[in-house]
Amino acid sequence: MKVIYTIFAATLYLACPSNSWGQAFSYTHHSEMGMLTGRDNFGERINFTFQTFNGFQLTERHAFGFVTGLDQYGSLSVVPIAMGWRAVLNPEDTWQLYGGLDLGFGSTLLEPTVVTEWNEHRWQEGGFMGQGSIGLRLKTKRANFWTLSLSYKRQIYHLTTANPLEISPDRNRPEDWSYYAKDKITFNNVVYRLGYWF
Amino acid sequence: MQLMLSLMLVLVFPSCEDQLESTYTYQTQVPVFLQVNSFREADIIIEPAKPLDNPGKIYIFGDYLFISEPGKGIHILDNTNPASPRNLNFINIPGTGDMAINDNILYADNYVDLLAFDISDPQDIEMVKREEDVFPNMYSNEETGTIVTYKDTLITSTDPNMSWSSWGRPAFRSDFMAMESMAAYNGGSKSGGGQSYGQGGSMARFTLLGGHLYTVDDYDLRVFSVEEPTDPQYLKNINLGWGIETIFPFKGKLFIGSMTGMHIYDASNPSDPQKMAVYEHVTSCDPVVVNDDYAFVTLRSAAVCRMGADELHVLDIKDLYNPQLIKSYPMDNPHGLGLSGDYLYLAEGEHGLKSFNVADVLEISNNRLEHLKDFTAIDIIPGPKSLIVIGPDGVCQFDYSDPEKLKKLSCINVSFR
Repeated sequence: MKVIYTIFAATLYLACPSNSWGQAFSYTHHSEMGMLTGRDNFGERINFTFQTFNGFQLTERHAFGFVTGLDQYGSLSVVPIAMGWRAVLNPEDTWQLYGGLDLGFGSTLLEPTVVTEWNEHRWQEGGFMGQGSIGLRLKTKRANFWTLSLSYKRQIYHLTTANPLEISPDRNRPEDWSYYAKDKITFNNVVYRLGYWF
Repeated sequence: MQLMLSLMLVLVFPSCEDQLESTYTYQTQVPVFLQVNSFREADIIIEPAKPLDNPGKIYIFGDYLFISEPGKGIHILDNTNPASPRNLNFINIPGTGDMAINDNILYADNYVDLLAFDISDPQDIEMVKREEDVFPNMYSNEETGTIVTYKDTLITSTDPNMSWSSWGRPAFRSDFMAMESMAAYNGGSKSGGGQSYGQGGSMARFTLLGGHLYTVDDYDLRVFSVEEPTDPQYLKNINLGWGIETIFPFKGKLFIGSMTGMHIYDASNPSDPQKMAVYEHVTSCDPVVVNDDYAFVTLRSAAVCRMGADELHVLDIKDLYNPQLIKSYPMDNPHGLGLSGDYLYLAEGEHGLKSFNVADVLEISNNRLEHLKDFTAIDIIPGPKSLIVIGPDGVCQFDYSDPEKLKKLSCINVSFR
């Protein structure tokens, strides 16, 4: 876990264009918007997704950076915080094929803890986020790119519902609650995105 | 290119159903069967001081504090200087729930038995008597000497229905004690045949009056004669009904707080208390304190107390056969309370501690003196040297020589849980 944090911190640091490292490698940015599609107990679902990749160009073909954005699963907002890697197969062509891999965490920081009038507490926690992408990018005249991509995204999320027994219950102590149910939901998505890369 | 895309679609789609795993974690009580011989034969060991873990009730006796650790034993603290109490030692009593102190003798329960300890020298405590089989409702089979206790156990299951089994478990004498380290009063009745009683705090489900020891559990009031302090004798059992919580002695009367109301018993014949009245109210948890004319009862809403209200009730008890509600005041989440002269100290759970001048019982809410908020207060004992406040985080003492201005003396924190 510590290793992941270190890489994370390093990525964040390096991804920042004002750092001296950033001058050695050129800054690169990729923003995308699209649809998360999957199937849950109620049938097909289509959800909105937005993500940005900020990093630096290691070589002509490889870029490494920091990924964040917003995945909106119904009323649930998940903010991905991840490291990302992009590789382009044929950078010399107008139509280029690229692949990407993002690994990190999906955070539910936008989700408040809810306490119902029956004193039922509900809180949410994020979890692992992993995504593999393949896509096409089209070079424009100004050396920017339009992109079209297809990805598989896996997002883990936890919802806890509990009724307190103690005056000041601890969320991590099920003993403090008279009812304590935890749902672990794994979202498996096929993602279609349109994006802009510079 | 297109081949790759379609290949990816084929690979990805079958696994594309969201997965839901639900787990239910609950604390239930797993029955543990014990042979009475196993604990009767084991020595009760006086151990060196241990840090407080889950303080239950407090008794003040002279310069010493006795703090029970339900199920485990009793801590003894030297409180000669309330500003820096000293943890002396620990009496290891498995299965204990409560205690009372009379003339250098400490009474405590040990599963089905009542134990008496000579504590005249707290450095050298000795067990002097074991009165057997006086709390028989723990027996699962009295003939074979098997008792059943329930051990708190955390179970995580993927079966939602299992969580309901925790409701179906049988009630257990120390259940209410363990769930609620609360409900307070100043048990310092000085009546009775010249014996010096310790002063009991919260939930004193053991109490002493007129040479007799009274214990309450969920359903029963039990009477023991302790006229010979080292030789307690079990006398009788009085059924009280359901949800009995606290017992408070005052001027030859026993005030018993239950989940449904307050019972008043006349103990002028200490071996045979007689019912005088029952004051009934909505179901909630309610400790009681009393002075000559009035009874102060707190009603509290909580998970285990059913749909209660959060209120302080003042009852006129000049006619003990007919207690009358005079006024009720809304409170935040009142737990224990302590009465010292005209001053009422009220533990408001996580809302802290409030003090009131109750000289005029009709104007209590207008006579609030202080509201200390920075700690959780469950129970209060106005002791001779200090006001002792108990909460889940530990035991704090206040100087209340000026009853209108409390001054913090010390806090003993529980070990990190």
